[in-house]
Amino acid sequence: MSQEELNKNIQLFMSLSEDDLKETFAKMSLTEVNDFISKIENLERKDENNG
Amino acid sequence: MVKIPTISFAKYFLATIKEINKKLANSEGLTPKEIAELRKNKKTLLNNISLAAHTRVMQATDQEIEAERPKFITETKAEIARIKQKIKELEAQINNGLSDNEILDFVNETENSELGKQIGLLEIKLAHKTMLLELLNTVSTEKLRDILAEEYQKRLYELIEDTEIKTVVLPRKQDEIEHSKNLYERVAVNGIDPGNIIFSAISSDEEKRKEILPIANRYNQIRKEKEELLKIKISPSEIKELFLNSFPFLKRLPDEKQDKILKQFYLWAEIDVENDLASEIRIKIENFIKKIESINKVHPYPGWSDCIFMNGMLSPNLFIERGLKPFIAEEQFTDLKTSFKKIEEMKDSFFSFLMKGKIKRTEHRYLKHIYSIYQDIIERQNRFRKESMVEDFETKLEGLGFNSGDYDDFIHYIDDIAAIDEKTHPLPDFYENFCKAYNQKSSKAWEQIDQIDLEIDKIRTKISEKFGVEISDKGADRDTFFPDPQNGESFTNEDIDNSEKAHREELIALDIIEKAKKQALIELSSEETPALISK
Repeated sequence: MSQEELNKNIQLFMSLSEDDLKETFAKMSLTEVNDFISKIENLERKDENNG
Repeated sequence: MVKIPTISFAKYFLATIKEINKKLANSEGLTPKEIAELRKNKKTLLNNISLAAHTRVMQATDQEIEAERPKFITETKAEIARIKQKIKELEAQINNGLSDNEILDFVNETENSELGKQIGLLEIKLAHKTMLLELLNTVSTEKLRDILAEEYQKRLYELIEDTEIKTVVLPRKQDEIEHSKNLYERVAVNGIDPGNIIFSAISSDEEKRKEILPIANRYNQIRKEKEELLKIKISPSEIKELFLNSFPFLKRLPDEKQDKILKQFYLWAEIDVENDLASEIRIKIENFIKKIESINKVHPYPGWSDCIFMNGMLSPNLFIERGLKPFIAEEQFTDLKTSFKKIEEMKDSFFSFLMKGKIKRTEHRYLKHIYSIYQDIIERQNRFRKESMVEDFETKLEGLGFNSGDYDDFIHYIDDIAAIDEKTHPLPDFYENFCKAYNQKSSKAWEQIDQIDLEIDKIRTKISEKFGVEISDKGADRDTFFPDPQNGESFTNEDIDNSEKAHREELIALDIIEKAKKQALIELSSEETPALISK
């Protein structure tokens, strides 16, 4: 991902309001929410191990 | 609103976090501002997800929550196994194949302290997960909902915390434990240190960093001036003047003798006249007076401590040589002189007995004898005054060959001493005069301090307008806009970085403390009245 794309993505996620996020999460099942958090955790662990 | 499909949302979000991690891992080409910005963004993104996940759990149906229970138990068990394995691996890294010397070298290396720290953190996580597993098997649906919501937040929060900690240079394990202990205790007692708030708020903005330094340095300069003004001192020569005003008869003695008497007084009252602040001296004089009063109350010889103290103040030899000799027989004079000499020699040890309130039986007889002499002297003095023998005294002095210049002073000297016996003790008078001088100096200092406070208030307004950081205008907070500069003189960029780090650590500590309190409350209410935690 280029710096420009990264900035764009960050801006996009930062621009989401609390309601936007709630709406997005409302569409997920609890299992999906859990998976999503697990994936973030795994990502950190992977980066940690690589680092 | 920007509409993102759920799957795409997760995918892009993960890709974004991954990219931020990559940048932070290879941050060599980035400026401190860019690194700080990335960290801040990542923290915000994770925080937002944490909040959304929490809301989702709280809105889930009971069936959804219950469906999570077995999965949650399995995951927690797997997590416990994973943590245990990780601890084992880290411990093996430290122990395997290293000689004693290598281990010692290794212990002193940063890498090892990182390992030690990781083990410590994993042990805390292990304890938490073990406790969680126990709860998951037993709690109600509503309690499970709370735990799930809390757990999602906690998992994400730990990632935020890890992100922050990774950027900090880690000290050795023991130091780290000590550091954390102090940090948590400090934050639990005092809350967030206001001295780090401004630097922390502007730390990621290069321009603001440049602009804040001269303001902070000026603030530091006037704060130091204020600190100095608060250290009110009364010089040795001023104290001497006050003392002589309360013991006017001492003015008739030579300088050298006056200094000796003062030195004796400082020794007894434990005053360090060169270094003590005026407020400290004030308390010491007060305590000394209390001691004398308490001795007078319990001692079998009323006024004895005054007698000893006054003998330190007066000049007994001069008194008897020139004051009593003309009026008493030669034999009595020699006897008195010997006794006075003994008082002079022993006054320090007598005084120390008196202070301790302990006198040996063998010393009692001697004390009684000297006390009777003291009484005799007082009696003679009083009679001398009452019978208006001054004229007679003058005649006798002249007869003895004293010239008038000597005896004028001497008569006043004796007069002063006799007056003391009839009036109150001069020490409380000295204390009162000292307090007046102190209050006078204090008022002057506060006039200047008020001016400094006005300038500090202007700085506060400037910081608020220029940097958008609001600071409390309460009096005591005026002294804590910034921390103390590391080099003791002026602030540098390093001070800003340190402040930012300290503030960040304190916020994390505060959050953990708050969560622990909340958790303890939930558990308590769950134990006592399960109905309380249901929605």
